Amino acid sequence: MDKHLNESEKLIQQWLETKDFESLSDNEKALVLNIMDKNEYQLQYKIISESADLYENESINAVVPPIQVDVSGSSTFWFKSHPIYHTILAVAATVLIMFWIKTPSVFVIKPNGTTQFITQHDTIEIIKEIMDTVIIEKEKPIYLEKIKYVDNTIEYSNNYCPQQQEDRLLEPGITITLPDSKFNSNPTKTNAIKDDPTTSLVFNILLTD
Amino acid sequence: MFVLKKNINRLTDEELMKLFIEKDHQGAFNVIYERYSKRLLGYFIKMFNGDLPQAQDFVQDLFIRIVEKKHLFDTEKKLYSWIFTIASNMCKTSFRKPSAISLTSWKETLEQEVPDIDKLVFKKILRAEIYQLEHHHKVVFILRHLERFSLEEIATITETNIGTVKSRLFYATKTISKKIKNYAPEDWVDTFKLG
Repeated sequence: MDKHLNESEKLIQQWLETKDFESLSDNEKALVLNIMDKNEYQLQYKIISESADLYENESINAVVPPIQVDVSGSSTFWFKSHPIYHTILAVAATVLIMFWIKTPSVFVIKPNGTTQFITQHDTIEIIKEIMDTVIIEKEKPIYLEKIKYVDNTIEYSNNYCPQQQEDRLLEPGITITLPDSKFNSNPTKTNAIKDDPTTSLVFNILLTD
Repeated sequence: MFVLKKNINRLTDEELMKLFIEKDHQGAFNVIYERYSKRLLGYFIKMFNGDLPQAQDFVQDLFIRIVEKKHLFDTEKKLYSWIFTIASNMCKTSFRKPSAISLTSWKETLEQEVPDIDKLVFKKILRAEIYQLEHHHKVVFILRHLERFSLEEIATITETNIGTVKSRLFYATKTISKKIKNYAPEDWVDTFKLG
């Protein structure tokens, strides 16, 4: 770690860049000689003055390489670097959303207080029953119906004879008329071909043969 | 749009960057690249002790980072300071301590090839010693004495204050002088002795 320069050293630093030892005034020489000897000053002066063109030839002859950077391609979202404050804002927004969704519980610590157990109910269960059916009991007289079968006993006497049908075949009540067997009830409705007038429509061949 | 294309080269760095951020304007990005790529290449060459391929790779990587992280740029601030801050941080993360360089063998080799060799050797050794500085010393030394930035600009780029920058410059120069004093050219030493 370099220590900071005092005023004399600051002045010498300034003169080293501009004057060689012989160009210094007597007072300046005296001040320089308090810090370093003449050879040391002169050598440092030479080092600074000779450094100016140390790489002059290389720098002049050097060829700058053509740039190969696609500026437009760098603006695509996924390959673009983002400032750190974007990330911080994104994280802060995420945390805020988390707190907004779920409020954090607050813990209060009382160092000198007494310990109490406090029951906290975070869930209240309400059971509600709706009675929509009413049962009413009514007294009603009961009627009993009895069916009683009674046996009837018929007593037949020996003289009783159930009445039978009359002898209907021997003594019919009506007269049945039978149809005449010689009468043709379904006469034939056909004619002979010679009597049929439509035969004129039939070919003559039938007729001439 | 035509007017914009015509005058785009007249826009300041910050206006170009704003255009690029808000509208992904390829033309604005190209102008920024034209303005800064050469200087950044020189800066990386100095940071990597003349390693050109590595410096070219770093220029490409840096502009890819600018495209990817453009939303991080504050348009109220200077673009150069933002770009050089990224460049310095890239060097820091990729920095590997170089193996010790055999300065004596360098000198012997060069003495055989070039007659008046002292200054050349001194410069070669100076480059090596700058490269071997600690990162925070090297950045301020290169930005100040090789890239010619002001102290205020270096303080902005390194995200420190001017007092720290002066201190780092002072101790960086002192560190180099301690290691390099045996390799100073003969005529310089003679001059010192005469004085």
